[in-house]
Formats: sequence, structure tokens, C-alpha cells
Amino acid sequence: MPHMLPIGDTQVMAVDRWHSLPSSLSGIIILEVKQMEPLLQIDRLTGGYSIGRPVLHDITFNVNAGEMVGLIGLNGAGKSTTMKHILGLLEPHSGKVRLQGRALSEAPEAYRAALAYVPESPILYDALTVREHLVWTATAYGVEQTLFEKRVAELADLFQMKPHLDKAAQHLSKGMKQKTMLMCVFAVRPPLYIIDEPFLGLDPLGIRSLLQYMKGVKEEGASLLVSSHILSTIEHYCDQFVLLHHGRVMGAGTVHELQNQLAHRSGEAATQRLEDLFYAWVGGDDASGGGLTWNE
Amino acid sequence: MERVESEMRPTKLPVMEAEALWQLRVRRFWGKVLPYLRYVIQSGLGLVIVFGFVSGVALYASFLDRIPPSFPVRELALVLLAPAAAYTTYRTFLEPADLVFLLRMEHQLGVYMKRSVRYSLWPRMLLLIASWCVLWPLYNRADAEPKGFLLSLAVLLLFKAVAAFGAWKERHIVDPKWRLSSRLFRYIWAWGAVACWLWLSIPLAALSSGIAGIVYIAWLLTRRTLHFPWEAHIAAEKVHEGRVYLFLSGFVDMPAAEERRYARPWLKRYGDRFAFTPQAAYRYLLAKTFARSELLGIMLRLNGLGLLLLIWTRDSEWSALLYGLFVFVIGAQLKTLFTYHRHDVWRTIYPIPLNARHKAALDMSTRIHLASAVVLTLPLWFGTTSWSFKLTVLAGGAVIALLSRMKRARARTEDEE
Repeated sequence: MPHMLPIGDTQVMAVDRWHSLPSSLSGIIILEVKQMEPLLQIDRLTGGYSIGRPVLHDITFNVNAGEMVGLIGLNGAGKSTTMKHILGLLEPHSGKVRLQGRALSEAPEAYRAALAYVPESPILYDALTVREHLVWTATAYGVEQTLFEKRVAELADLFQMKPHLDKAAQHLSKGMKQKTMLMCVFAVRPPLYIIDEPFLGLDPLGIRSLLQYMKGVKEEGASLLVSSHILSTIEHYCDQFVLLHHGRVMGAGTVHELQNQLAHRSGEAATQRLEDLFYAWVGGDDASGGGLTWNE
Repeated sequence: MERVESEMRPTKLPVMEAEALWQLRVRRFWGKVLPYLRYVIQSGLGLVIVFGFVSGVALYASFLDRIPPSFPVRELALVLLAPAAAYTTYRTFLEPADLVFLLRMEHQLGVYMKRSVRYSLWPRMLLLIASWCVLWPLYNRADAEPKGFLLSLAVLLLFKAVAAFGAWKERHIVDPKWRLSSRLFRYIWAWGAVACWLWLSIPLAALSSGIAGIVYIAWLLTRRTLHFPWEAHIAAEKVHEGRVYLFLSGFVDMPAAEERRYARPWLKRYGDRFAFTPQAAYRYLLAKTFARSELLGIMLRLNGLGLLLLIWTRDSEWSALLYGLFVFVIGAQLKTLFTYHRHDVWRTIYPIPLNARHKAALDMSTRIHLASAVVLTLPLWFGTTSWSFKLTVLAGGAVIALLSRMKRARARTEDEE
């Protein structure tokens, strides 16, 4: 059985293989120590929409397997831009984005098959029903039909979408559109989920179901990179946080590590909630951000 | 307190401003569309129209000299005049943002809406007048008891006015079910009234269409209506704009516009055979999109109209020209398939080869094109032309379809980029 040992910032996999060795070596325990590579590596990423005007500056963080990482920050901090770089929708000005050890250009299809994305606003096809969206996504990701049917039944129950499966997307409410997007990604079960503002438009029951499901997929070994403004909700679920401000990583770590960092900067007590510390810190800061005006 | 009162005072939209807003909206729409018309003309459509017009006039003139004794002129008149009388829609150029910014000035939009009604009705009235003027020489010669030109024109315009009133009230009806019924009644009434005028004596036609018209108007007036149907106006605008863009996208790459979708439950299984086959993922998506698209309606109408005209000309060798024209136009319309999901973000996120969308569109368009080419030859098989002629026409249709495919296959590399 592989056994995970946390050592510093990395994880070490110890594999006890003594039982598979020839009898002459029995009694000697050999530990094969291998450093586990993070699932997603963002290394000194500088990027944005136009060359010469980077929105992101030298961003570095990792997402490990079986981990939920919260990408937090104010509007315009660079959360969605970071996600677009991971998705390959934007080209880095410098730095690297690697998923399962490979850049998008090295193996585009394998890279894309390893992630699923939920955008900030649902992007659905007017012509398709909810069920057809699910089938199209599953077809694109090569999910086997019986497995798909099982997952869809489970997801439709969880998100209370059973009566709406055959409705046209254009007739859905905002919350139902968001649920459709979420169901699409959870139906294909990739190693990495990238979810931009997952709670937008969801009712309290939907938020609870989503959190419960995210916890489930994480326990199964998948990773999630989630951006959200609702810190009070995600602070109990994320293993790590990356705090972006004006396109730079201003803090990272577990909730306690980030609490300490923010408390140190804002001068508040580290025992306060992450949300309060965050707002105490950014409250007086000028959040004009980057981006272009119409006059530029 | 004073500040609050001043904020609550209704904002005035003077007549001149409403007028100016209307002008601005119309100018903006045509400003968007006109630059693309150049490409439409360059595409050869202008030539096809001129050629069609000249040859149509020549054929029509020669046909007038030798009209068969049993020519079904009333049926033809009904098919041409009833849709022209029934079809009415209103362009308001209202936009989704108006729901926020113009809502509080709703009661001052009278001038704007009057301009909208006039703008929408004039071309449709002219279409009806033109149809009647073109038909008149044939009707006057072929009908056993033709009715007077001016009297018939006045009656047709009256029918149009009733249908236009019906369409306007229809836009205001609250319940979508009643709105749909009202649309159906408008078409039934218009077709019935035109048929009465063509087949019955003047007093009998006046009595029957008059009573039916009064019942229809009374029905309309007793429905629950909205004072100003913002959402219906905005939705209708999207449909109009989508249609214009759909037409233009057949000739030039257009910015994406929202296209009207049709439920078509009878086609709900269409495309299901491609599900769970990763290589055919885009065929699944395209099949579903096509099944609910305006394009399918256009394909059905073109095939239907082509079949009707080819049934009429099946014994003449002119049918080959007509056949070629329809197969060509169908091919031109199928270009729309290549625009579906072109700027789709999922294309770059899902693990699908970049050329999959183009490949799926190419396969699907060729299949539809070839199927149409075969269907359109059906009337010819029952005609009196020679077998070699029929086979040549069929081969010609297949060649047009395959040449279209070859031309569009070249665009593939561009798509991959």
C-alpha cells in the first residue's frame, strides 16, 4: 500500500515492496523514495491580454493531487486571468504552466483531458437541453455510457435537476445554468477541476450540495482550483489558499498560515476569521488594478 | 427630502428625442448591415438575381401567350397572395438595455412605436401590391371570372390591415399559448379570406370573410394584453437580427448573433447515434444545433419550393436550370453550418482535435447537400424528359455538392490555426 508522508513543502511516497522481492532478500526492507510531482505547476508566470501590459506578475504556486486550492482576491486581482492561462486561452509572456508535468504545447489533447472548467458565467448552447450538454461533454471526454448514466443520475439528484434534464438551456434560470455547468464537469471526473466562482447564482441548498460533492471528488484524489469571493464558505473546505492582489501573489498557504500572514500585515489578531483579516488588510488599499480604459 | 423628490420626477423624453432615438437605431442597424451587402453582391448573388429576373420576365411573358386551359391560377394566386397578406412582423430596434434605461419613459414612447409600425408595414404592403401587380396579367387571362384589379387590390390591402392589426395585438398578448393560437388564427384567417375572394362571388366573399374577420378581431380584443410588451419586442428584435446575420453569414464571416431556436420535438433523437463516440463529438453537437436551427427551416423551405417548381416544370428542359439554381442556393446556405460554434470556448478547452469541428461540418454539409440534390430530382423522374437528361441532371447536382465540399475543405487549415 502506498503511504503518504508529508515532508516540508513536498510529499514523499514510500512504497514498501519487500514482499515482492526474491526470498534471498527477505528481511531487508527497501524504501523506494520518489518525490511526487504536483498535478499543476505554475512557475513564475507573467501574462495577460496584451504584451507589454501584463496583468499577472511572476506568479508561482502548485496544486497537488487530492487538494483543493482557493484562489482569492478582489475584483481585478487576476484570478480569472490566471485560470485562462491554465486553460491555455492565453499565452504566458514568460514562465510556465504545467499540468501532469506537461505544458499544453507538448501534448494538447492529454493536457485538456486532464482538466475541466466551470467559467464565472455559464456558457451554454441555446440549442441543447441539459441532458444533451452532459452527453456532449461526456462524448468529448470519452466517458463510457453506463458510467455516465450512473453519474448523471447521482448528480441530477444532488442538484435537484431531475425534472429539468430535458429542458432547453435557454429556458433555465441562472442557478440552473450554473448547476448544468457543474454537472458537466463532475460527469467527466478529470484529475483537475478549475471552477471560477462556483457559488454564483446557486441557492443555499445548491451551495451545500456543491461543497459536499467537491469534498467527495477531492477525497477520491482529484484536485480543485476554486476562485471565490465568499471566503467564509471556502475557508473551511480549501486545503491551501493563494491570495492574489494586483496580479501578484501576496500570500499563500493553509488557512492558519494565511491568517498569520494577513494578521502580520494588517495588525489584527491572527485568531480572527480569514475573511475579516483579508478585508482589514485590503480595506485601505487602492484597488484600481490594471487593465485598459477606453481611452487607451 | 428635496433631493429624493427631484430624483422621483419622471424623466421627459420629448417627441423630438423619441424621433431622434428612432433614427439613431435605424441608422445603427443599417450601418452594421450595409458594409456586408458588398460581399453578398460580390459573391455572385447579384448576378443570379439579375439573371433570375431577366429570364423570369422572359419565361413569364412567353407563358402568358400560351396558358394551358386548365391552369390552376386560383391555387397559384392563393399560394402567392395569402402569405404576403398574412406575414407581418414589427421591427422596433429595442435592445435588452432599454428594459433598464427606457422603462421609465415607456409612456412617452408613442412616437417611437408609431415610427416602428410605419417602418414595418410599408415594405410588407409594397410586397403585397407588387405580388398582385405581377400576378394580375396571368390571373386576368387565366381565370374564368376575374375580379377587378383595383377592387381586388383594395380588398387584399384590407386583409393585410386586419392581419397587421392581429400581429400587433399578438405581440401584446400575455399568455404564450394564446399568442401562438393568435398567430395560427391570423394565418388561417388570411388564407381563408384570400381563398374566399378568389373562389366566391363578391357578396359571398365579403360576407364570409367579413364575419370571420369580425370574429377574429373580437377574439383578439378579448385576450389579456400587456400595455408595452418589452420582452416580446426585444425577443422579436433578436430574431430579426439573427435572421439578417444568418443570411449574411452565408456570404461573409459575421460577428456572432443570437439565432432563434426551434424546439422540434420530432427531431429530438437526431444526432443521438454520435453520442459517446469521442471522434464524433462535434457531429453530435452540430446535429443537435442544426435540428433546432433556422437553417433547417431554410433547407426544408428551399427543398419544398424547389420540389413544387420542379413538379411544375418537370416536362421541360428548363427544369435543369431551376434544379441547378436550387442545388447551388442550398449549398450556399449550408455554409452557415461552418459558422456554428466557430468562436466557441469549449473548442479550445475540451480534449478534441482542433480540426474536429470543421471536419464534422464538412461531412454534415456534404450529406445534406447530396440528399437535397437527390430529393430535388424526384419530380424529374416522373416527367417526360429523356433518361439521359434525368441522369445528367442528377450527376450535375452531385458535382455541385462535391465541388462545394472541395472548396470548403480548403478552409480546414485556417480552422486548425
